[in-house]
Amino acid sequence: MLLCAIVLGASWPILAALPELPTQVLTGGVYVLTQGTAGTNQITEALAAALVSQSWAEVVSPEILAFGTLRGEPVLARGVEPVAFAQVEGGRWLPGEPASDRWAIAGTRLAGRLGLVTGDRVTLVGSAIPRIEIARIEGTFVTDTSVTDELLVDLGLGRSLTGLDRGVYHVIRVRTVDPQALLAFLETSGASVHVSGPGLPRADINSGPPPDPRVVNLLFRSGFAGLPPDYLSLALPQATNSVSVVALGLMGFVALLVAAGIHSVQTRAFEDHRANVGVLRTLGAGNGWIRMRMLRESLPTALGAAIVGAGIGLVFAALIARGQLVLFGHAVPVAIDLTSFVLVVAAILVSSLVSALVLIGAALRERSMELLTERAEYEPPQSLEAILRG
Amino acid sequence: MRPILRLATRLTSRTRWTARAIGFACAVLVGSLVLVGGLSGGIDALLVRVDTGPFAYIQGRELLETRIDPSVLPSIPGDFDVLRIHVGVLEINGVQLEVVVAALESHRSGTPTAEFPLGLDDVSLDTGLRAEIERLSGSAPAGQGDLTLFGTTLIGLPIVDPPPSRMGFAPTTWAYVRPELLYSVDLTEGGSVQAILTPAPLGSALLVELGLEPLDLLGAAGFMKGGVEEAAQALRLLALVIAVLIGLLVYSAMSLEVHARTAEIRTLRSLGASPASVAGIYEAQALTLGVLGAVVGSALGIVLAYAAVSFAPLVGLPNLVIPSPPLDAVVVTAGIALLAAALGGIVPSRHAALVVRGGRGVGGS
Amino acid sequence: MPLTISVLPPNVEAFSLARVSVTISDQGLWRLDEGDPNSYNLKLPIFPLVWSIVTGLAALDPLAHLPWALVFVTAAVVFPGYLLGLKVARHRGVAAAAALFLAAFGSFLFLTSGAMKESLGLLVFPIVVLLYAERTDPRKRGIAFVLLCLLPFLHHLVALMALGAVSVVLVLHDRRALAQGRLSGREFALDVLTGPAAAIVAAAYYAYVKMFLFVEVTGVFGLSLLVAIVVVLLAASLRAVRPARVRAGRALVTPASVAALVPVLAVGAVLYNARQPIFTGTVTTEPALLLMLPAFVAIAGFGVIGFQVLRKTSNRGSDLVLAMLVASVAFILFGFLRGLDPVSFLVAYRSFDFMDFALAVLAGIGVAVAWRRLAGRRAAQVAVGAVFVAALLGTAPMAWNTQAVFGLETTTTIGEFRALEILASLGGRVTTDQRLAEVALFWFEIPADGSLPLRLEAGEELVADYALVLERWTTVGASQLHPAPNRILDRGILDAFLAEHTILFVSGPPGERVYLVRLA
Repeated sequence: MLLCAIVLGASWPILAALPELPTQVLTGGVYVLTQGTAGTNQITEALAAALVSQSWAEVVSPEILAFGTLRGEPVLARGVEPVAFAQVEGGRWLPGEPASDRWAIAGTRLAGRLGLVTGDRVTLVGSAIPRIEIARIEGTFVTDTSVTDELLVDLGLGRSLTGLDRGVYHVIRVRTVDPQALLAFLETSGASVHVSGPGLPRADINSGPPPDPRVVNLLFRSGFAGLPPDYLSLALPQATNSVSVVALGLMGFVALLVAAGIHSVQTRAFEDHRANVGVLRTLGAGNGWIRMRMLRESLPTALGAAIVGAGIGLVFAALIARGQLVLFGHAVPVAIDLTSFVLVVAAILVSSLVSALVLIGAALRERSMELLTERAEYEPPQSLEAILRG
Repeated sequence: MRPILRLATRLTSRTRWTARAIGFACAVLVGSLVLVGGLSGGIDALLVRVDTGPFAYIQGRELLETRIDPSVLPSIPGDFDVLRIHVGVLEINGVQLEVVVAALESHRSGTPTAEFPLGLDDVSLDTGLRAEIERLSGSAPAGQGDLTLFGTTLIGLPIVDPPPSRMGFAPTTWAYVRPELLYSVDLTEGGSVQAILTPAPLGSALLVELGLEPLDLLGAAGFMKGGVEEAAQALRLLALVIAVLIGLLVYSAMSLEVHARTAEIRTLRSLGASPASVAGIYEAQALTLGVLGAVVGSALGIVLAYAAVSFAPLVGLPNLVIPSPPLDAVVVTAGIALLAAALGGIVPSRHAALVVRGGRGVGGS
Repeated sequence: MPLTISVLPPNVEAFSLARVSVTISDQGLWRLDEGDPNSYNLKLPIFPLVWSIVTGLAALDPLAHLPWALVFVTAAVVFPGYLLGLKVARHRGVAAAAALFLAAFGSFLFLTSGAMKESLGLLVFPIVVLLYAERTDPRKRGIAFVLLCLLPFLHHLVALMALGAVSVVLVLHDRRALAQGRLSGREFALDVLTGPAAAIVAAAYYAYVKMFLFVEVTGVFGLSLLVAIVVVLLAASLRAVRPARVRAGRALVTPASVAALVPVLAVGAVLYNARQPIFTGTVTTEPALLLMLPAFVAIAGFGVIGFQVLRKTSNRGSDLVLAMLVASVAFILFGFLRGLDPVSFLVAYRSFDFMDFALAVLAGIGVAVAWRRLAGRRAAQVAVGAVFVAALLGTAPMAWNTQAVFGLETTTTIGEFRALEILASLGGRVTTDQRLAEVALFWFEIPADGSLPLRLEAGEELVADYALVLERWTTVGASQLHPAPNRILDRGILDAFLAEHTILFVSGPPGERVYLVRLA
């Protein structure tokens, strides 16, 4: 049981953090506007300017997202406006805000991972179009968000890497304390956008829901039809879904292993006590009393093993996470906290208690004499003809 | 031998439980490995259908730091292009600016040719670079300029029109020169090649021989491949942890199994079975249970992994996990299970062999 | 047997088979031709060969009389069903109930009216399994082996099912023999060589002709999954080597909750699918199918009782039931686990009906046991029988009203056929919906495009000389490539199209009109 708790504690926090990463990268804790289904190029300079003029919009940051590689590693190059971006991220530029027209600045963790220093020249590749650009690292960006794993570039370089037209962006991120005002404004603006953010279910403004990803998935997997023209924007969420499926699948396997391991250990231990159940039943103990007794006796062991095992497991998880667990170029934010600890302990306890209930339930369905003599009585087999003919 | 085999392959309800435990453990490991392997398989299956433009190869991980020796170029099959690219400083119209200087050379039927610029000293400024110079200096680029490359300044180079054609992936902000100009400045630095561009992928053997690495010109493809590989590495580590745990589980299951048969072992010894025979029986049974568990468990793991991938879209996770033929996973898992079962059977079976006939013995039931 | 007698064959495949049989009759030989529009059915020549012989001998029309032939073939399926019930239970009541099940169960009727080669295969499949089960008689062993070698030339799925079923019979028998210490290596080798080894014939032939679906199943990806499923199912079914032990005082082999799990899940899935499609690209459950759910539940109830009784009794015949169940479940699982794409659905839904033989026997046992338990209460016994019959008849709409139940139409009307005949005489390129395009190609050998409804909706230019349009596209929809559902065309679009072009031919009553239109 201790071993099971260690495995659970070491694996679940990491696996649970993997599927959360894409949302954190895209929204970063603020409201994000993306292209809706009606028309193209809805995320525009004009829309950004209109948002800036609204009193409820604290910060408006238009951005271009270029997924690519840098020195062989997957890196998100984000085209930004320096002032607005620093405000929305709560970060700072080192040595200072970029002043030239063409610049590239590395997040501190990215710089550390790839050994980038100010003055280095790096090759950037296009995102949705084949492209090579040479950029010079002008400094670093210090923040404690996922942006620390990204490369920040000027909007012109972002357009070159993505092929976006002038005056168009991929996303606009908005910090506001009044999301309803944001939604109301967008309704009247006529822009077709999807809006998501903290505490807000996805809103489709002047837009239908996003295309059914399952249909797209069928095209990707079956190869029966050509790829849709916007395949890359659709394939990336599917790729992150793939990681989620594998992570969740592994969580399921680990959970099964843990549950089966606990059950088999308890089964073996219970074998020695089956006769006691028969004795208790013979002496008049009720089924409910026997169940409670079983739970009371198994709880301390399970609790002790769960607490110790979960603690050791979470330490392992923390060590693995500290060794820079990176996914799609971003460090995975593994939550090693009291909540994780409690959840792991609870999972072990629940597995143990359910197993105990199953075992005692099966024993209580047997006759007392069978339990006492440890010899089950079975009906003698009959032939089918005998049953049918009576 | 036949009696040993007959006894070894006899399955009671308890041995079936042991085999099931081994099988279940194997199922978890195989399933985990199949899922992780399917990550890369899915992305690769998608990306082969994507036209990523020409195939580019560099050495190492950075284009500008690549130094491919031109003498290896004849070993590249078919037609291809060669890109030499460096960062220099252009002084023109009284302004100084950093520029990317590129020289493109086509190799057709083994013959290298550079199509532009025409003059050996010409510097062709692309449209975007011309616009930048005009913006900075207030006037169109002059007919001559100074170019500094590899620490050497070339003065009065003719500035000519933009190139008549451009590689699809090149931005409009590059300056183009002939390869001979680069040689003349620095034979080693200027002569080395930074990228080889081919219309079709090069074979892996040739890549290894020449020390080349592919450079994904379509970054999203590289991003997906790289990201998935990062995930796979992390998940392989987890699978390794599961493998160790499974080894321990199998070992303990087998040990318990043999320990529980001590009375039986005493009976066999009292009937005259030699210690070697007794040890052989239980070791053979350990291996039998290991094989049975590994076979059924591996099959179950494959089924569960495929089920997870197949039904994930129904719960809102359409994905690109395409499980590949699980031979590696099955072999690794079977190896771990058999090794653990064999070890789990060896110690107790040797103990069992030493059990004296009659009442006294080593260990008890 | 099908409950409707169509003047024309009730499915598209029949046109292809009829054409192949005509070709064989005309040429006097069977020849593989990859370029032939009917190359798929040329590779599975048993049905057209037999049909060409029958039409030659009896001077029958190869197309018009084909539905009647199908009636006789599928009606004959009840006989091996009866024999199966008799073999398993040695009880005529069970056998009769099993035969009645096969005669009246809607899903089985639908298959036997919708698939020609498989219908013949469904007649051969239980015979092969029965003969193999009695292989101690060398004559029966020989016939079983010959049939196993011929089945790949009739239908690939039937061949795989038969091979799977005989393999399970073999494994169960030999596992029992091993436990009893009487397994002989020589006997085992003989059983394998005259049973599952026939797969070599199938594999070699299908690889040679590059049979559709063969690569899907036997590619490394598919084969590893199929082998894994087979291993898991065999391991699970080895428990059936002995009767299940039932604790004294308990009636059920397994807890009722587990026994009822599969039917409950199935009903739940059908109900959920009525709200939104579970699988991408499929339709919601039609209301007509929902109305039949109580009938299915009743039949499932008899099946569960039968299964419980079969498991707790010593009975060698249960191997046959288990073999048929395992073989079809293996392919259903294979279909669902390989990725839920169109090929997967094709494999899965075609495999369901091979369970019907096993379900027939189980339901028959359930009915017989219930009848026996109610001995002395005649009214109750009659009620049991009536419920069984009523439930079976309640599923019959699946066979004769496929449009309402599945949203599919597979029957070709006389008016559509006449229009195609005119097109064949005119020559030129044709555009229509998927079903008619296939009929045009298979029987008339007119290359036709089946995407007309899509192009009309999208306002695309039509690259054809003639169009064949059905008025029912605006009500029940136009057929598309399987498994896509019917596509309903807007009435206005259809009317505008007809107004713009010259109508050469019209037939059918209002609402069901068929239009042949000149485009050029």
